[in-house]
Amino acid sequence: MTGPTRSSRAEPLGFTFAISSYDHVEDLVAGRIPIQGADPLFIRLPIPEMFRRFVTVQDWDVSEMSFVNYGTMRANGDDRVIGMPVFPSRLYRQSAIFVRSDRISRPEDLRGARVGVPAWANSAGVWARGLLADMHGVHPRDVIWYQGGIERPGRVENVPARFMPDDITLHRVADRGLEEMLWTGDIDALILPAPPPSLETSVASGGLIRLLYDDLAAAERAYREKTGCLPMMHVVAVSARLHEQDPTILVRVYDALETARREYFERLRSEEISHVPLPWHETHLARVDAELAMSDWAYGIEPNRRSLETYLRYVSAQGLIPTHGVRAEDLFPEWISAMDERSHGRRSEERVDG
Amino acid sequence: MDDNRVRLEVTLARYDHAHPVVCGEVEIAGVRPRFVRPATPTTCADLLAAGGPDLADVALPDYLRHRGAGDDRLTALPVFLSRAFRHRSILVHRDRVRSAHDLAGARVGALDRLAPAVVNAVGLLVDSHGLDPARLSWISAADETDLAARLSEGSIDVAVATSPSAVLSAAGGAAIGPLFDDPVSAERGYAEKTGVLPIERTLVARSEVIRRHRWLASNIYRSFEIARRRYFQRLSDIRASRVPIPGAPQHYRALQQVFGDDFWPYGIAANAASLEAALRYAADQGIPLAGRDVDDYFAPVEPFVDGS
Repeated sequence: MTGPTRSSRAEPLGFTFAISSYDHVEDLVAGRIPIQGADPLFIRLPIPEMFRRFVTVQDWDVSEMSFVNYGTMRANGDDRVIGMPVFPSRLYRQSAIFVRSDRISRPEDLRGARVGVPAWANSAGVWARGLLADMHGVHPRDVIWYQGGIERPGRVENVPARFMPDDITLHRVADRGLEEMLWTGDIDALILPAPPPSLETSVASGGLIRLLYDDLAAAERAYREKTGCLPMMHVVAVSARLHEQDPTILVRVYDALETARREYFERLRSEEISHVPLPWHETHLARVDAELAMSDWAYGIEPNRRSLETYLRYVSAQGLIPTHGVRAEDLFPEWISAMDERSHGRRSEERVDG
Repeated sequence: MDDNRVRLEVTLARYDHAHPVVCGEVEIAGVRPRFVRPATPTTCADLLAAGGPDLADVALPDYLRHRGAGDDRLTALPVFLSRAFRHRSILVHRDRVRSAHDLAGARVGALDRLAPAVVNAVGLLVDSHGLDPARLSWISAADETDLAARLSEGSIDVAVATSPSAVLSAAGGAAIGPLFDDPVSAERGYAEKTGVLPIERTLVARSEVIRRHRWLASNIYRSFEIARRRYFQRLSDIRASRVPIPGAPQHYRALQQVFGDDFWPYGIAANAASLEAALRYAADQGIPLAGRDVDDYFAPVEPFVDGS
């Protein structure tokens, strides 16, 4: 009996793969790490366009996408995208909270404040709202939320929020940009992953708009110590269309990404050559790893259980998934299945070979 | 019209701060490069061998020794790809050696006296701890297990290792450990005091290729400098974690507090302290030099001009 990974297909499987630039992924995109039995065409576009075109119309077969969009789609019963537990981008979102320094001095001042976000189902926003609750007792219901375009008005959500609790106030802004509203004082703060230049300049020059946290290193450390989380912003998913063609592609893409990740950390640990120009990264990492429930940017479900459970707690409190019964495994059922089949297949092969 | 760009064969280890040049995201103007990632680090001998590459990263002591022997077939560019602190590389038997003062006239065990880790480690002991290099004796060891055994049995007083963790694993006991109780702390002190981030590997080209095109050295330098700057921009990108180290932007900021904004610069002027240290360490350890003028070792390159 042959296992699912032994393909009877003579030609490698061609497909398009959109993913951004990451040191732990680059060797895959450069063709140094093959995807077994595959001939991928890599597509590089700016993140907002890459994400929108995959979420809405699946313009490519495999894609990096917003983790919050992914989880929300699946919770909405939309299974056009099939994810794997690979998280290329993970960040602490204390750095995403921009405030008017004349209105907000401490996190607690956000109670009753008006805060803008580009989308409700946005990874930076979800984790920022979560940390504000966990670290400072400022819950989503305590804040007046505004959603809209940042630099230009008219931005609409990629994915609808279908489980909003009644006590969360969210206004959709169609006619003004939120950046302009922050400057005119019609809102007090903005949470967004990529600040426009006016905000960056203000922060850098100690102007009116500042980061909520003066000491990001301390705030991130406190969050790590309390939650053990390394927040995942993005995930990798396969279109249902490709998955139908070849369900084993989930595992083969996963394996290649895992190889690229593992090789990055082998290089990082080299004592012979500084592949990464960062003195004392070992000391920094050792400290961070002691605070985290995982290490080395691990992929998979088990190493990431803490972060995944925190994510689920946040998105259920914020109306993006049902409030009960969603477990980490429910995010990646097809991947779990494909991995199980692969290991059963291997065991059968061993029995046959005797 | 045919592609008449200069063909350049380049053998280069994987450096994240050079990757944009290797993958073609940053071009080398006037050049069509072909990059090979070697299985083991490239040496000057590899560059000089028949069919060898035109450009490679090599160990700085290896290059200095070639120049010191009067061989000018290779010319370095001031692109310092590999750098490391080596206080952690100095291992002793803790019952026998308590401090650097105990190392006067020591028997030093090493796999390769010319390895950058060894030269930099012994160099800092001479520079910062007054060790007299003329009184040291050198014992060659076969591998890290051999170094551990020799330290344990006492046939060497100190081991200087590129891979101290391999020696410590082989030794498997508390008696063998770093000379410095807190090597990282000692490294920080050294960095703050000297401004040196020890150079280990540099870009080196075959001299006749550099001489054939007056613009080539500067164009190569420029491309690597652009790639280097991009790395540090990527490190601080809050849109996405380009570098998979949690809290990387904060670690970067902490490094800038010790070193200043630019702690891994290319070029001669920005690396005066580190280059002078490199020549001094080599001279102290009997590596022949081609003079003490740093400029003599590098192809002149025009300063980087920003802007489009």
